[in-house]
Amino acid sequence: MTTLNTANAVGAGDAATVTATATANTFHILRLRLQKKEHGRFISHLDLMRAFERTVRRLQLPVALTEGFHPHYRISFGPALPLGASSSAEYCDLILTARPEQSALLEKIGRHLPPGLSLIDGSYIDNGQSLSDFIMRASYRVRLAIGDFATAEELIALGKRILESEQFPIETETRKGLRTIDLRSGIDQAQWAVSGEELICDLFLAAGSANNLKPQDALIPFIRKGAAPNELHRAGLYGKSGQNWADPFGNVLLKWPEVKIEGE
Amino acid sequence: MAAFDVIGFTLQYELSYSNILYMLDLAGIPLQAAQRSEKDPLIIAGGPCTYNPEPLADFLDAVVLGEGEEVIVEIAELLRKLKQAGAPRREKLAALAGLPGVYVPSFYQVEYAAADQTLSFVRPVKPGIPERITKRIVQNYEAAPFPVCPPVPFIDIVQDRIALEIQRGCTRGCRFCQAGMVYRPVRERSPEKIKQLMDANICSTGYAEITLSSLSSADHSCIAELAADSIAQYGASGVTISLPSLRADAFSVALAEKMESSGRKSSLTFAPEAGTQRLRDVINKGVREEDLIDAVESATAAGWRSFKLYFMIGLPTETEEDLEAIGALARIVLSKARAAVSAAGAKGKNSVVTVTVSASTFVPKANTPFQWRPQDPIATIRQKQDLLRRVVRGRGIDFQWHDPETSFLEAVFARGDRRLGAVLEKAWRSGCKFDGWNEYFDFDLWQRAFAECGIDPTFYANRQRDYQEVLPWNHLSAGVDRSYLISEDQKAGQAALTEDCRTGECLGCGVCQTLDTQPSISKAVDTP
Ligand code: SF4
Repeated sequence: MTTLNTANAVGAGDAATVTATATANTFHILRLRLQKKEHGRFISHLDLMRAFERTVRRLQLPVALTEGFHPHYRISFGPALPLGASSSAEYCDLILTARPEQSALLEKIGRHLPPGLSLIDGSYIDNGQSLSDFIMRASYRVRLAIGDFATAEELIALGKRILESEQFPIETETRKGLRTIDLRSGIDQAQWAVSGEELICDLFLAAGSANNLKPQDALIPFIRKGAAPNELHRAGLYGKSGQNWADPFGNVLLKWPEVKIEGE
Repeated sequence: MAAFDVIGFTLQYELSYSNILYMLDLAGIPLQAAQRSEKDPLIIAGGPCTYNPEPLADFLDAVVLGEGEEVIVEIAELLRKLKQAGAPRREKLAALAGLPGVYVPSFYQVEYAAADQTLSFVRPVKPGIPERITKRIVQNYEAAPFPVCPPVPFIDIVQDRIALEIQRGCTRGCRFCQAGMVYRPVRERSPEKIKQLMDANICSTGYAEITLSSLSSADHSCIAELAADSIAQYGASGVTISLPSLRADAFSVALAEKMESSGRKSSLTFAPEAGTQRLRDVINKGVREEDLIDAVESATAAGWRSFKLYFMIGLPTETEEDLEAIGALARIVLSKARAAVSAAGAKGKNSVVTVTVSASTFVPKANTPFQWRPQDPIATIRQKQDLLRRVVRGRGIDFQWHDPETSFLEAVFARGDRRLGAVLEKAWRSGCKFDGWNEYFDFDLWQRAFAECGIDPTFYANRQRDYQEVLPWNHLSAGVDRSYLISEDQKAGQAALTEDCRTGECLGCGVCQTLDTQPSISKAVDTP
């Protein structure tokens, strides 16, 4: 595991800084990057939060509590992932009331996570924005089974058409019923390649509080053409570091996608 | 499932019996014990309904009476040895029958009297098989193993918390209560042990809620300190401590208040069980109206606004007056709570008090003082529910009841004999399953099964037995003397109370002599 010391590179936080100095206590923010793999894919976002909270309680870590009738740990997670997707970019912030030594702490957390979850990285964040303020983009890799209704070329042409259009309205089912959303505004970048029977898509989508496009929504036009997602993976979450995109630890994203599609 | 050597079922509730057949069938295991071959697993049952497992006698290879901690290990060791030696099924069963507390139904013969269809006898078919099986208890409850590393699910399940058993048994002696009779004597875990188990459980599971479970947790002699200490220790990591049920008195409310964090309060439940003092005395429910009012007033002062009152209808000697009193009691609780609310100066939404009355139907159970008593016929229960709907009403009062048919079926199987095996199998074959779930329960199918087997279910549910009758569970003992059960039943007839033996005086129920044990209480207290 690489332990990054990049706290200062984290986005230039202003009003939204999470350094909580309002009360007498000094808080320390530990930011973690978790991986969801294998059957961990079937842990919903809510269940993931609870499972993580239980891990923290098993370790009796000095996490701050919320005020109120039913105090709970001050832990915040990044944007939700659809059920069934794997991820190497589940970030969370723990607000701690003490500052245990970092590497031993990370080792301990890593060892106690339930099967299906693992720790990729972690670091104290001394100055910076909260995850929800920082995160603006999410990177996904999707493996689509090419169906019988459209060829790979036709699917790729469809993708190009979306990217070239000004707007791409699409109907999607939300909790409040059918709603029309504009796909185009949510797609920052996209790439395609064919690999055997599959079309592999890399998507760089709007994520976070300002604008958010769910990956399953971004795939609707392809699914309507008979494609079926075999695998959905979240590769990263990003925000602004000056002019660049950077991950929540401040590591600048030098090239996207980080791992090139191995296809044609 | 069929690949296991042994499969254990917990008989928690009579209405789950059809599901046991369902599960066996899904696993491809023959339903009838007699049909199982050498390659089939042994089907063993434990749990509260084993104090009369006779309706399941055809389907079970063996039944364990009482506490499992020690006997489970004995069974496993015995069967492992016999398996290694290549012993046939019959030999395994014979060996099991030799373990104290283990009952092998196929080694007993039953016969019924032609005249009245009651049992003539239940007796072993061969020498060496005990005439009577007495339940097991762990020799040292304090040292008994308790799981400290249970599996923790990802999804949100029912009872998603640590249930830490802080004591076993209850000696309050409610005469309808099977648990109160069969889990005797009362034994407490020491506060030190409880804290140690709590610690180990939190550190292995990370659960945010612990319930200090037992039949009557507020009776634990150290409960107040225990609650205070655990809150002090774990409150800081967001853990809440709760009790599964409350006694109707101010002490219990004070406890609950300590446990629930200040502010919003969920509803509080009390179980007076009967509307009049007379009937509460009949069932030996030591709750007085003053206690209940006290509890409600202090709970209202502490912020609770919603109360649930549990009652049972169809209790022995019940009259219309007792039922009407349920309505009156609900109104008194409501008005006392309202008075306390306005005294506290609460306004708006925070001043609204609700009282929910829930009435279940009395089901006489084996190995209780009321085991000879009839259950009210379904039609009578309906009339009583109608009456209650008329008297338990008004703004702020809500009434809940259950269909009497499920309680009737429960009563049939609770005191049934081996002849019910055929009915159960027929009912299951015609589609009965998940009988405890309203949306699946089909009383017509059950009635048809009874009719096709030529069995009158009211014979089991609604008939008064006399003390001389051979009961289907006569050969199965929870350690409490039959003579004690009779004397408790007779005292019920006189509405005479029986004390709690926790406070010192032995009342001679017989369990301590039979099992060569004694109650174990951490510290001497006066039971309120
Ligand atoms: S034998 Fe006596 S002390 Fe033991 S449980 Fe019965 S009444 Fe209580």
